[in-house]
Amino acid sequence: MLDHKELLTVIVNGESVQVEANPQVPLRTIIPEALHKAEVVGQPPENWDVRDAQDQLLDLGQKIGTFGFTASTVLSLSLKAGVGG
Amino acid sequence: MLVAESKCVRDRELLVDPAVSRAKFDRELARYRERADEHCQRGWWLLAAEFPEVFVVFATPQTKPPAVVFGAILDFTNYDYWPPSVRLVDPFTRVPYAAKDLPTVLNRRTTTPIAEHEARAALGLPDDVGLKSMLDQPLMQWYDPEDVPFLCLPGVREYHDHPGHSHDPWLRHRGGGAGTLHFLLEQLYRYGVAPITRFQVQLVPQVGFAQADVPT
Repeated sequence: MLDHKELLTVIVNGESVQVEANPQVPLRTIIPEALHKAEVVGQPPENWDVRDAQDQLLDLGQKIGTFGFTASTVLSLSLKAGVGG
Repeated sequence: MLVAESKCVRDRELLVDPAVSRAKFDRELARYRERADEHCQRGWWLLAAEFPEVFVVFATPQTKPPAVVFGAILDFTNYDYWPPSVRLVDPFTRVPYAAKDLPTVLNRRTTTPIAEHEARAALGLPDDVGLKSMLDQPLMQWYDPEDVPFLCLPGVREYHDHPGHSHDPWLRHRGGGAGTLHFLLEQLYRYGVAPITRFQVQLVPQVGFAQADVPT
């Protein structure tokens, strides 16, 4: 488990980037850094979800340290699909 | 007929230097291939990729036995001035499914708040309890069962081409993540394949009389 600042691997639009993870802050804080590193612009951070390797939606308000991430954890940033139909 | 001819001509229009679209297509493919093993574990098989088309088949590694669910052809013509076209196809023949033959309609659950006092009263709930209605809406849309359905999502060419979505042009989404190969495959997977957990078998027993022999 991460107990101090570590690097997390995050997939953004299929591209892998590494972001600094502080276990004391909410998960949503990794989104702006991941978008910046992947050079993805045009959609604000609030339009993105964070999912785990099993494609499960993670609670963005939950502190990073409570998830039990390890250095080998790979998260995925996924753009919330717009409303269709 | 004129509408169909017009669409056919439009689909052949060349609005972006093919070298530019091809470079962006290659970049999308390269990103896919960097994580090809992970995609394979989720049941995504990229079987062909030759500009401007990508052919991917989706399977269910989570079922026993695994099953092939559908194929998808994504067309990156004029990318990314146009978003990709997405068609669900027969995974063996690559023929687009008619709506009546779709193996899944990619249901998406939507919630909308409702605030009717009567609804709360009927359920015996206090006034401060919010109510939402849940609706499972198919992302695949069509008018006639014989139609080739389209994926009704921002980031998909057929969505933005539809006159009903003229208020939501592609250029509002371009460059923001929607319309990338990864995004589109993820949506097909999330709504079309990931929710499948087991096989549904419907048996219709028929009871009749059996005879040991036929009398002469």
